[in-house]
Amino acid sequence: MRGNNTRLVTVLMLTAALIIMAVWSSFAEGGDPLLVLPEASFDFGYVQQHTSISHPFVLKNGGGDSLYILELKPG
Amino acid sequence: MQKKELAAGDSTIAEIIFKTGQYSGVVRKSATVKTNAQNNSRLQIIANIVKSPDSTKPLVLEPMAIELDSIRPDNPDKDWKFKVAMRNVGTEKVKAHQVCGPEGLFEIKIDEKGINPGEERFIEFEFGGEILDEMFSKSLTIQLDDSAGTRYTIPINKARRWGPTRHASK
Repeated sequence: MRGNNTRLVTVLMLTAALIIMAVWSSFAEGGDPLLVLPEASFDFGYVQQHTSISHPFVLKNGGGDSLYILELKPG
Repeated sequence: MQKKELAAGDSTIAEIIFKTGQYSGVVRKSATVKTNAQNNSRLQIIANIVKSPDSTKPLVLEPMAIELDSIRPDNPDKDWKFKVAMRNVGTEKVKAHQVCGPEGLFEIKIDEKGINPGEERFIEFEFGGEILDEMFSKSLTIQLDDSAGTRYTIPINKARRWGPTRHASK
């Protein structure tokens, strides 16, 4: 009876270890895509009325899988 | 946007264009980037929009915007230059440096010697013939070394293609 319990505990511990390793591996490889914005805000300072200004923002994939930019919209 | 699919570690540029129109004072605008990642994000721009260039202490820029369609170079086949004057109307010496500007289309030289109160220095733009057939909406942002880190953005717009039509009209 005691031997069965020991075996059960060992199996549970091994299972837990495998789950932890799988989760850790997923994080370590960065399995999901991750949008990284090195600069999320830009201050133009003084600008004249009735004109157009522009600024290039860098969008980076810091994750481990392909990142798809689905939409870029005001608001 | 150059690319809509980014492999791991890859990057792209999203150019945000803002029309100042009749806005006045400090304006904040944002854009949402939707992706297949869990962390959709926001980009934000801030601008202090003025009616009159005289209200932009400590520098007054003349002109404060460059509309290339209204400028006629003598010989469009050669490189040509255009200047923006920076006049110090404040009480302290300031230096200006470029924060962000258009890459590749033209050369920009900023006089970085420092501008004493009452003095004028220049930002020089050198355009090549390759822009004749281009249409663009770009801008140059400069920042001062004053305590506020005052910034100015000069729009540089070209709304028409000049190309052969321009040569024929001469």
